[in-house]
Amino acid sequence: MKMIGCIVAAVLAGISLGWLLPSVINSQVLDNVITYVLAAMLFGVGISIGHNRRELVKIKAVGWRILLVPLAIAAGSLLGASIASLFFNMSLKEVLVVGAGFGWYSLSSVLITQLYNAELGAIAFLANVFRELMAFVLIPFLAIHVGKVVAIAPGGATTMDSTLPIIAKMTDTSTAMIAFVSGLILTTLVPFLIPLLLTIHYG
Amino acid sequence: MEIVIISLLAGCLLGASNMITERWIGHLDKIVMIIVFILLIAVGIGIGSNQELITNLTILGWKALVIAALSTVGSIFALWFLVSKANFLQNHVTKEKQL
Repeated sequence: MKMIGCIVAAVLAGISLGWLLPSVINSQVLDNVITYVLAAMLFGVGISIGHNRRELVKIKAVGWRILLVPLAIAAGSLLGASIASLFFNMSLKEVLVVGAGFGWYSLSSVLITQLYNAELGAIAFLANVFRELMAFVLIPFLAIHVGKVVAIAPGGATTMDSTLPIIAKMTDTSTAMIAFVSGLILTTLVPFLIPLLLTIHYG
Repeated sequence: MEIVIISLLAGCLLGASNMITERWIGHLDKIVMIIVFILLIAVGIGIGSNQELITNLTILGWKALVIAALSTVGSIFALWFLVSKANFLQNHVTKEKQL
């Protein structure tokens, strides 16, 4: 929860900075800075993914069918998000792209801001922070009342890092392992899925 | 934007090689965290300097909340459905209980 506070504080600090000094900010320079910082972040995330993959090879108990878990989470997220286009003045493409962040707010908001527009980027940031917050609340509830494996779903891409400790605490070692693999796959999917969904013309 | 995907893939290759030790991964997590904060501040600046966005922030928040709730519920139902159909996930849980 401390982490969430820091994250919201950072964005609020940025918003006040931009609001107080709008004339100082050159949006072209800001765009370039964001792109390079983003590349640096994904380089770091990539190292973690590659390193963890090497660790995962050791776990032979995990069969290929484990892939069905992140696929179900991804399909369910997109399907759920698509319903939102009925309520708001937003195209199917826009709601799908926001849903495709799977809780990874830092990447999805920046990618969408750069590739589409700042408004959808802001929605994506808020929606994915909300998703992570909901996950913190829902994981213990689902683990106790519905089922251990189902408790992985709300976390989306975050089940390989921020929400993994809660899943590990509320379930068991093998469920935590499924959660980790699922989070890893969803995390890898996000930087490919968001640009892909944005290039498709529909709705 | 290709640079972003390329750096992700380059990172994956470097991470999968034997060049990175456990100790460095610990440092890496901290570095990535700092970079995330820089990004969040930059995203905030972009939002804050956009007057139109600021005036619509509450509407955006409402939309974001609904999309987040719908996609979270959607993923829970999809996984719940999968678990009820796929017995390998149930077996995995029973095995754990027997151990």
